[in-house]
Amino acid sequence: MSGARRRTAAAALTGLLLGAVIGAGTAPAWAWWTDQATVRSGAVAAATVPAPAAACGPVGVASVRFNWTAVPGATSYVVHFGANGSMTRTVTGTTFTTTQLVSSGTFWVVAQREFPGTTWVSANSNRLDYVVAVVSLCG
Amino acid sequence: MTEFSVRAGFVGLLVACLCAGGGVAWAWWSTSATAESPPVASGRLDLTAGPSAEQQFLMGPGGTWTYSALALPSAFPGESVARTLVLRAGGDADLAVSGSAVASSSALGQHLRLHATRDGVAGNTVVNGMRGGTCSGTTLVADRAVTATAAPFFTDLTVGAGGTLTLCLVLSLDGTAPSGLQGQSATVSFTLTARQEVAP
Repeated sequence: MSGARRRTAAAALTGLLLGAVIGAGTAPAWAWWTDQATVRSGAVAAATVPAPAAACGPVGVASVRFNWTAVPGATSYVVHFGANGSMTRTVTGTTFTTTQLVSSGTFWVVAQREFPGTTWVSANSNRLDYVVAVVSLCG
Repeated sequence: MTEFSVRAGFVGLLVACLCAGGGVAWAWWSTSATAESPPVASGRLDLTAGPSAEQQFLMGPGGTWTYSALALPSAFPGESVARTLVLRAGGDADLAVSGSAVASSSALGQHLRLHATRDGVAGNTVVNGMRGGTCSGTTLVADRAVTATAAPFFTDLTVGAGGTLTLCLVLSLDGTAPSGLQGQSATVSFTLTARQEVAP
């Protein structure tokens, strides 16, 4: 392109640009705006399966009975007994009797609540030391 | 006299004037013009939010609103709550709205699930002590985990100027949530971004 033609083309472009700016008349210029809002939920919290409260029941000859409070929704309880609670049984009621003669140990219980896809377990109840003998002891 | 001669004469005159030492007056030429821009107008864009079309609590640019009814306290695995969230295009432009959700707790968040529909109605029941929420409507996201990393659950839903968009949200605690989650809590934040879709 010759110099003259280049100048002519530049002049035409400048004219077009000016025409676009000035000749647009009263049409408003638009920007693209955004607005962001945040909606926060209230508290979403996982529940807790309460721990049972254990107590000594009647002390018999060669037996010790334990009772504990029922936990709402609990489907079973796991009792720990024997030396340092090393033995376990799963029961559905709220009492347990050990008759293992001449033994001592520690008792506690946890509540279980079963759901279709999982099982939640409570914290341990309070601990009780006991002795099974002719004259049993619990406390 | 030829044309060449005339031209030469003028050149000679000019040279003579320059050489005369009489001083040459120089003028700096200038020109100016004023170009007026066309009117600059900003559209009014405002995404408002609330539990219903009549109750819009989040108005104006930005802001955070706590939807206290969208809560699930003391939840056991499988429990859920459903609530509607109505968004309104409060300005004079159509909006394209997108939404993302994020949980404030990573541990609990990965066991929280979100189900969202459009134009749905929320229903809540209690069966055997277990709360259950459901939403009718067109599914936007189906029962997806709400993690501690924001993730979109719908994008570019159009809301006409002055119109509303009804979202129905179900928050639930996963039915397989482990026992170790007991006592943990979180909030879920829904970030809603509206973009002007077209110039009116």
